[in-house]
Amino acid sequence: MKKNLILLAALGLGLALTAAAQEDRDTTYKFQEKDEIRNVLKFHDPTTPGTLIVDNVFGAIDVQGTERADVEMVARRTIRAKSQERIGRAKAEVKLDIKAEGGEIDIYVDGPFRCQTQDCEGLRWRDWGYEVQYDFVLKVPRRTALTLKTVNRGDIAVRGVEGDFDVRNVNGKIVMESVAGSVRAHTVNGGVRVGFTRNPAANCAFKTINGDVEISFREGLAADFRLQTMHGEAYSDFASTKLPAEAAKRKTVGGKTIFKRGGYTGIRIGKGGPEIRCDTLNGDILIKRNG
Amino acid sequence: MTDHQIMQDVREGQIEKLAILFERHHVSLFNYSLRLTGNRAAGEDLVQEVFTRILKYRATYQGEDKFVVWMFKIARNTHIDLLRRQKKTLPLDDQFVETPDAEPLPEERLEREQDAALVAKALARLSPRKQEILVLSRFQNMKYREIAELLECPVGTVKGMVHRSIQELGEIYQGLTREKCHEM
Amino acid sequence: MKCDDLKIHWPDFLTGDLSPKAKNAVDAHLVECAPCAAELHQITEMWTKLGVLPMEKPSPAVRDRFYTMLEAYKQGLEAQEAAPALGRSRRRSFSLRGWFSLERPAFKFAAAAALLLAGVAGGVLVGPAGPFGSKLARLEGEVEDMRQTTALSLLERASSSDRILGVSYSEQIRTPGASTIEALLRTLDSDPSVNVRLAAADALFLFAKDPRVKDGLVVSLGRQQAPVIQVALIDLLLEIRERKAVEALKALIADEKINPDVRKKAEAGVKSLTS
Repeated sequence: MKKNLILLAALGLGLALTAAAQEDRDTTYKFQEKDEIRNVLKFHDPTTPGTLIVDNVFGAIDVQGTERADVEMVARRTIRAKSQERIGRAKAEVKLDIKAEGGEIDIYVDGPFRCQTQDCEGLRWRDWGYEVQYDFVLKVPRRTALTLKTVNRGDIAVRGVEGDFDVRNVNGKIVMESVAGSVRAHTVNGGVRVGFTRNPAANCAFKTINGDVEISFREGLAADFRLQTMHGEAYSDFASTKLPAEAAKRKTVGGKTIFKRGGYTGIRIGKGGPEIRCDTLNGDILIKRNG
Repeated sequence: MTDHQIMQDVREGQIEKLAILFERHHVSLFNYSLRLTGNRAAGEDLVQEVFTRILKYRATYQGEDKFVVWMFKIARNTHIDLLRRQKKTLPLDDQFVETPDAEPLPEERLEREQDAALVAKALARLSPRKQEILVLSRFQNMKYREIAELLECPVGTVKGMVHRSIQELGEIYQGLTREKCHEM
Repeated sequence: MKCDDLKIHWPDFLTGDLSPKAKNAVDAHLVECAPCAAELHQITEMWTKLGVLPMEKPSPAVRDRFYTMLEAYKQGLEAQEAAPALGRSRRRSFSLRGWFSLERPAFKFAAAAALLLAGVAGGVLVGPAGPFGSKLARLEGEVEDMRQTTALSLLERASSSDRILGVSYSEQIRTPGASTIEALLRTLDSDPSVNVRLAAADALFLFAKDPRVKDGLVVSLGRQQAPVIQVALIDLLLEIRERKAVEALKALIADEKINPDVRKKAEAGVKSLTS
């Protein structure tokens, strides 16, 4: 694979600072209010698997698969503000939009800060005088497709769900345990750890910039892996054979065409199968065997 | 992976990799600004603005300078811009006042903290240029020739300035210590 | 050995970067020279004390802001890549991607020129034709006027983000009138916010064919103080190959107080424009 230098110091520093930061947070915003919203949301047809979308900005998302036929949502809201008046503003300006249409449930956290993460003219970070954190805890039917997104202040955790997954974090990690189906998990600052109960039959992609990618599969794994880590090692519990390097890709940037080599190392486990990409910059890739 | 390699990738479009450079350098940038302005908010604004500019002007990264030198060039320009925008901040002395603690600290730690406060006060009284030279060499651990590249002056000049700055710092610090003694 | 000759080694002594030869020379001198020894001792002590100042931690907002910005930028880039090529350059919606677009003059000159051409072509192709043609043209005209009015009023607002919105609106205008151009040039010269001035520079780039704009940019270069804007303006003037800028550039080079990066750029600019 790549060079031996494992520079986890950078990751360590990031973690240490995050831990210390928790204390400092409470002094900039002197006022705080917490509450909780509970909701039971239904899919139109409980006999076919539905899709749950959670689009968050600040805060964690935790999803657990259950024997229920509907979705139980608990949204814990923490408002921190510089004054009582701002708390009122936060409540008015930040809204939880919940839509349940047909086979799709869409939970969206909306607010003026959305201008920061989507197309909008607001380029500078505004000091709204408050911050609103939503931590979601959801119980869903065992078979549900999940699209989960958050940006800061929380990890995304999924347990015991089967479906297609599109999970996106920016400053936080992704942990999925006992899942099955195709997974696309991507974060920037945090690790990606996924454990399959059944080996995937469709393509998967696991990516982070600063963290480890650790994926556990079952005995009898058959897949083609594309692995890339600049500053770490890749380990596999399974025997593998090397695959030929990917063809160079054409890419056009600003009118110029540049050829980029894939940069990934390919290995085949078992007789090959779906393509599984594991990508990290500063961390290790671990392909583990789990039972 | 070196800063240079990562920045090259960012320049070519892999902008998420900037996160690594952020994790590596943002505390140092924050402290650079904090030591020069005594203002935490200005320091945080500087960090944000520098990384925004690194993204915006990523195509101009040639790699002739070391990445940190390039980054500090942006930081210096940003620092100047931010200073112009804001009115002068609180009197610098106040920034380094020790916060009174609920419990009495062990004797030595209290002494050390008070001493550190005096050092910081003395630093704040140097001219901006002298402050900056000391901050860059002592805290950012930049080599003199890197500082010379950054400030675009000869290495000899940088070294001479370091010498004069630390001497002057010493004199101011002595003065402050004497004042403190007289207070007691 | 004269004391002053040895003292030039002291900064390296402090950082521990003395060559063995120099170290010997310094050690030898210190043995004989008590004043130098005392002085070195003092500054070493001061240097050590300096090192004891703690590295402060910024508040958690710093990381939140950075990751938010990174995410926004990424989405902006993706949106831009997904947008169709035709008629794209002039008809941007107000978006973050408008900010970070490759059309900004400071870099990617080729892309900027190409996109500008595409914009012209797009304008021609998407133009009114057929039975709905004239209606479309009238509507377009009304929208244009509205844009100009809105842009002008936003540029007068107190909040800098409103003014940035105003600049963004103005970029949508196909053929800006005199008042819009004047307003943009005024903003470029004297808006209190550096970011708004930068935005105005980039907006004016889009209208660079207009002689009023060209002249206005040259005049503005002579007036700017902020290095970031000086650099952006120089890039812009080079991009449009405006020879009238040479005098202003020479004045910059002659100014002693000028930022060295800006001076370098100005010198390169003079060379390029006079070649």
